Amino acid sequence: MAHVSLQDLSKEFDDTVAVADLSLEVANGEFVVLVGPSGSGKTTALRLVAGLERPTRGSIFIGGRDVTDVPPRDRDIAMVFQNYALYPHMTAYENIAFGLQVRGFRKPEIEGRVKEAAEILGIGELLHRRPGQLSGGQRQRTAVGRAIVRQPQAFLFDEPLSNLDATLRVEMRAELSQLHRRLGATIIYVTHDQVEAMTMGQRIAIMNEGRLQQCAGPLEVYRRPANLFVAGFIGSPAINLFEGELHGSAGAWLFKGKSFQLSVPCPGAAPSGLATLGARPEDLRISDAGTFSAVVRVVEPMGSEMYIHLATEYGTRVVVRAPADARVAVDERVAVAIPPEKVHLFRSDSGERIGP
Amino acid sequence: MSTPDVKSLDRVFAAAGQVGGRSGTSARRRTADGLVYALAIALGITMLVPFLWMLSTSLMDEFEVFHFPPRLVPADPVWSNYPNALTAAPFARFFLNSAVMSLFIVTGHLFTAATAGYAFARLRFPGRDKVFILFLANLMVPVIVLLIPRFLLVNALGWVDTYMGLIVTELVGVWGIFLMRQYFLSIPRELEDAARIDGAGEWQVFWKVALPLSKPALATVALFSFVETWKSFLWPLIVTRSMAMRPVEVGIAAFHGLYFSNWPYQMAAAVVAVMPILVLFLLTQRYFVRGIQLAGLKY
Repeated sequence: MAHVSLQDLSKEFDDTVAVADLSLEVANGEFVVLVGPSGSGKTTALRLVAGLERPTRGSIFIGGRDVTDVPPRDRDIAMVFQNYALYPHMTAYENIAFGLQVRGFRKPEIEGRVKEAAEILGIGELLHRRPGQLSGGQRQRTAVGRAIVRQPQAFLFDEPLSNLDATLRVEMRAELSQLHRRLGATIIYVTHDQVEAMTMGQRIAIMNEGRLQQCAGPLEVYRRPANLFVAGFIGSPAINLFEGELHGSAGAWLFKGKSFQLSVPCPGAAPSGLATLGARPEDLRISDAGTFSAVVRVVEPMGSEMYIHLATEYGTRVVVRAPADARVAVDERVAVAIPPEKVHLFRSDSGERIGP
Repeated sequence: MSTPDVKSLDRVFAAAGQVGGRSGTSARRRTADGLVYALAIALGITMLVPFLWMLSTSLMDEFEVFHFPPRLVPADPVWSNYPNALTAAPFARFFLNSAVMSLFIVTGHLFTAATAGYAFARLRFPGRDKVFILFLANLMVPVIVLLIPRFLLVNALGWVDTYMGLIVTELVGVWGIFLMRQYFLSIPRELEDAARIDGAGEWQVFWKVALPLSKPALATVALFSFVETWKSFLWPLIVTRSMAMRPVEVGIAAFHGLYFSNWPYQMAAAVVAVMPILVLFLLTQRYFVRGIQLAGLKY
């Protein structure tokens, strides 16, 4: 296993920039998730690490070795693809063994390793089947098996769970996390699914339009999003955003929105100007002493909790995550409280986070 | 993605077709089906009759052929027409020549179609698509136009009336290259990427992943190129002089000259000449159908 380092990596296709100045350090044995909407450059970044694309600029190091100009087969990495990419003309065994065969391993060694990998993944009984005779989950396991038999320096996963049904996805998510712990593997994992990112990643690298927005632990990303994009991308239901102006003085800042004013406790001088205030749905409270009032539009009971969709008089949509027993009725006007210590403030122009 | 998948998909479609057919069993629908079948049967008979006639003539004696009204089934089949016809000219040699020619040309086609098709589909090199279009443009040049320059070239090389002369100019088939390229394009790129990451070099990616997945296309190329070679006439006619170098088709033409009036002999020779194609076709019909689907209508 090895440390993977991307330095100022850029990839341009004709006139589109897929990845721009991406720098990322993945520690030995770390599980890092690259997450972002489609077209954010996360898959391209992964393909650059794999060597399937050549970077326009920048360099890639795996285990301290500069592999920027090294072909994929000499990078000592393994990759699991979204569509599994199993060789249809080979059995599961041959699929898993292929990498070892082309590298000239001896038969007994190959057999031992394939059996071991199949054991770990619980597909020992299926090795004689072709991919066409395997279910989605079994194919996925075979694809993972093909990656782990090689005992590579790093694993690359490209949306490996997106073709599985919901139940299986949850199951495989846990299995992959376990596998990571068991192998102590360095993993770079690409997904567009924030739940996968939050649950599996030790660190999450959020990308948008080819640029790295933030890279930090899951809770850090959630609690202290570096900019508006990250705030909006991570979290479901999405964070509530309010446009307004910030007037600062040391110690307390005043946010003036359309429908409310809020004094936010903050050390240091505040930059004045247009700002966006973000508040997570679970931080908002329906209470008599509200910060602003809004009308209930939709109530979604989730069983354990309830999502209340509201609209302010200015048309701003707000979602509140309330206890399951909250009593609200559609079309009712309610007061919503924003706890000042829980809010996030961003510059409206650049989207960057303001304050702590 | 895999072959079984495609098969099961086909089955699903077939089943869906049947269900649709059953659910719409209105009288109008049945009449329409009946018309289609009638037309298909009529066309089938039109195609079949010349072959049956050939078979029937090959078993008649010289006089029965001219009987009026013509007979479809010979009154007393003359089986001896076959040994007689086949020994009247060096047919064994003709067949050998055709077999040698077909073997080399089919092998050549497979090799060039697979490698060039793969290069045009997957390798990146400057001017690739322009070169490909140039290849395709070649399909528009009538064979006849090239006949004389081709002959002059082969003559200059001293290969007239040799296997070399029969074979070398036929080794590359643009149609096969086109078909293989289209097929390679349909193979998911991820498979090749996976092989590259697994440690395969470009040649291994081609040989161990792309090629085994292209068996249906390869079979189609082999089949069509065999049929084309076996029935080729003009080029072998021009490039061979001696009886000993003639392939079957040219041999039969010569035989026609020698036994001008003996139709049963000629038809017996013809029946034997089409046998290999017929047998091959019966064994590999599905590849023919696949080939037609792959490359549009060739035959």
